[in-house]
Amino acid sequence: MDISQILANGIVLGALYACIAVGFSLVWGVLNVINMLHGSFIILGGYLTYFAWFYLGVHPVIALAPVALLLYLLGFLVQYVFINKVVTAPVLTTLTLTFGLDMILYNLMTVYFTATPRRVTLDIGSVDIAGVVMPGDRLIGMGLALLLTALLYLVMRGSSIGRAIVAVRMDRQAAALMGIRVNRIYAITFGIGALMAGAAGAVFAMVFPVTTNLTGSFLGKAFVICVIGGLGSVPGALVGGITLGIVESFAGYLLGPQHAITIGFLLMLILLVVRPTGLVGVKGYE
Amino acid sequence: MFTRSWKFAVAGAAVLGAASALTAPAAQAEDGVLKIGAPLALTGGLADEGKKQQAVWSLWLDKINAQGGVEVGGKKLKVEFVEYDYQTDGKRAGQLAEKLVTDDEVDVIMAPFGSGHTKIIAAVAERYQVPMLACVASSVSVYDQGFKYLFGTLAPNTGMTESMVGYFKEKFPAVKKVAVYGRDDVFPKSMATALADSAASGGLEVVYNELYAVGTMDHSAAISAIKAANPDWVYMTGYTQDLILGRKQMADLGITAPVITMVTGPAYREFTEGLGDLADGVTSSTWWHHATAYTDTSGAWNSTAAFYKDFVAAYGSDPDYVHASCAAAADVLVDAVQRAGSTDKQAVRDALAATDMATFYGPIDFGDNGMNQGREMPIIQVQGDEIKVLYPAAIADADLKLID
Repeated sequence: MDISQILANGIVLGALYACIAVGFSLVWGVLNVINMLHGSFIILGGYLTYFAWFYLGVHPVIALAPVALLLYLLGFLVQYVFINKVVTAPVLTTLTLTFGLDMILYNLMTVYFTATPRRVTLDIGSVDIAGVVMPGDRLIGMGLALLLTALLYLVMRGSSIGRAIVAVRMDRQAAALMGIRVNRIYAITFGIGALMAGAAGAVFAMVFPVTTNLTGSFLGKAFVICVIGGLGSVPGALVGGITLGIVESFAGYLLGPQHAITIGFLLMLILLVVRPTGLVGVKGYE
Repeated sequence: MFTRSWKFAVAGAAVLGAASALTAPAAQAEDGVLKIGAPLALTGGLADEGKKQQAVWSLWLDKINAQGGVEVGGKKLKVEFVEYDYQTDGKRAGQLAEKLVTDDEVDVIMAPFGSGHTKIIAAVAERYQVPMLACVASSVSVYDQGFKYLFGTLAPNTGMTESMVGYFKEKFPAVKKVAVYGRDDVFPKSMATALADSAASGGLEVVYNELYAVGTMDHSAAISAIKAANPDWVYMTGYTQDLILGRKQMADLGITAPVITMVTGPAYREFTEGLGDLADGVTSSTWWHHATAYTDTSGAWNSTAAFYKDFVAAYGSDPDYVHASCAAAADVLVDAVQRAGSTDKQAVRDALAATDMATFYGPIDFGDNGMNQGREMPIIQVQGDEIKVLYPAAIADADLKLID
């Protein structure tokens, strides 16, 4: 068996994983909120994309921007109305709140959309590069995932909103003294987290079946990736995602697919012990 | 000090009094009613399956109660379902089953979807000696615990895999190598294990035999390994979302096996809808499909066609084996109560054990372990937009088509 195929599988999967985690990492790093809604936000993005394709014939790549924008508005509202009330409370309070909100969203989706798996059946075939087969939709997904992650990185580094977010993350009180409206920045950050989840959902509607059954899996992956890559930075999610993708791919091949997930968790546990900041995490966010 | 203790005592008595006032009325069993308890997964991961059970029992109940109920020992009994949502949480399923027995005093329990949760509830039913019908549990491990009150309408997995290996060897003699890839979960795992055993004993070479963990979101590593083993037949088990992803990745990574079997994918419409053209040619075994035409049957419906017609009229969609098996289980229960002449739990249990009934779902005849031993399971295949029955010959309407 060609090792390059296993590596390619892992990298493509890893880029998709990064797309899952980047919004989650941002919210956790800046707000210190473990957003249990993240998996459901991704699936909601997936459903909106699927319905746009099924009923209106809109290609998922085109639907991505409006779906992401809708999720941004939803995220902004959720933060502004609910989470801002308790954002300075211990992490368990916000975790419980987002867990409760997730149960509501998850069950609403199950009731109105049903848990029946749906998929955008745009099968565009595969590309064969020197014997390494790469599925077309996963390549597009990987491209979009990398592009979105890069865009977020640029926004965080180069825009005034991005700098304000970083400032709030570094020192909430000093940022407030500098005239930054902290609650608004929190809502924007949470909105961006939801936006990235929505965009990931749009990408995934082409690759994975869309069903509420997967919300927990997405959330679990986001969690593992953040710990592996490190919180508080966009590159952390990217490195964590690609590392997990490659590790799962090789573990699945060498040790059998039933051990792939376990090895991913094992890597997370080892890093928690030997390097709590993650592979490229910022000190202070471990 | 004395005053505080006294206050606590009064408050405690008030709470206890209120609690007993709330629970007392429910503890009285009603005469003239056959009470069926059903813990169902109406929310959570198995919500779709739980709702199927709820839907078909509602259809069945309307039909039965429209006739004024069921005739037992010379008088008419009304039939009533008591349903609770256990939220796809196994522990809660056990607690609710207990509540159904002790609080609601049901005469019989209908198990929810899946071998895992059925196992949990069967233990409760056995403890309280309440007859229980399992309509969506097929793993032998559920039935080989020596339980006396458990009966299942699905047939054992092993019979299904042996007939499948035999059928493919006959229709596709070039089949030599089989790859088996199953979800590490009660039913899918038992099917994968049974198929690997049946294939090996049937003289086929099992070139790949692995399980994948629950929650696996990518099959590329396994499918790359399967491709390298170059099988003639790929057999994958799992739930619909796994199978859609698995079939898609097989196509993406260039699997060219002429036979691809997915259990129980094609039995569900969402499988074919979620895959589009990629579903074409996928075979499966299933306990029932509406294409199987049983006639002159007893119970609420006198033929498969009659059940299909009523179901489509009520819900506007095709029924699957979950609907059929669960409706047939309700038929079997009524039949047993009628033969027992009462709702006495022991008498109903004995009558169930002696069941030999032809239903629209197929024959039902419980073996010593309580499983239905009366059926030959159909092999089906997606051919174009249709589901065709390949086996058994008596109800087959098409021949095996190899995947190009």
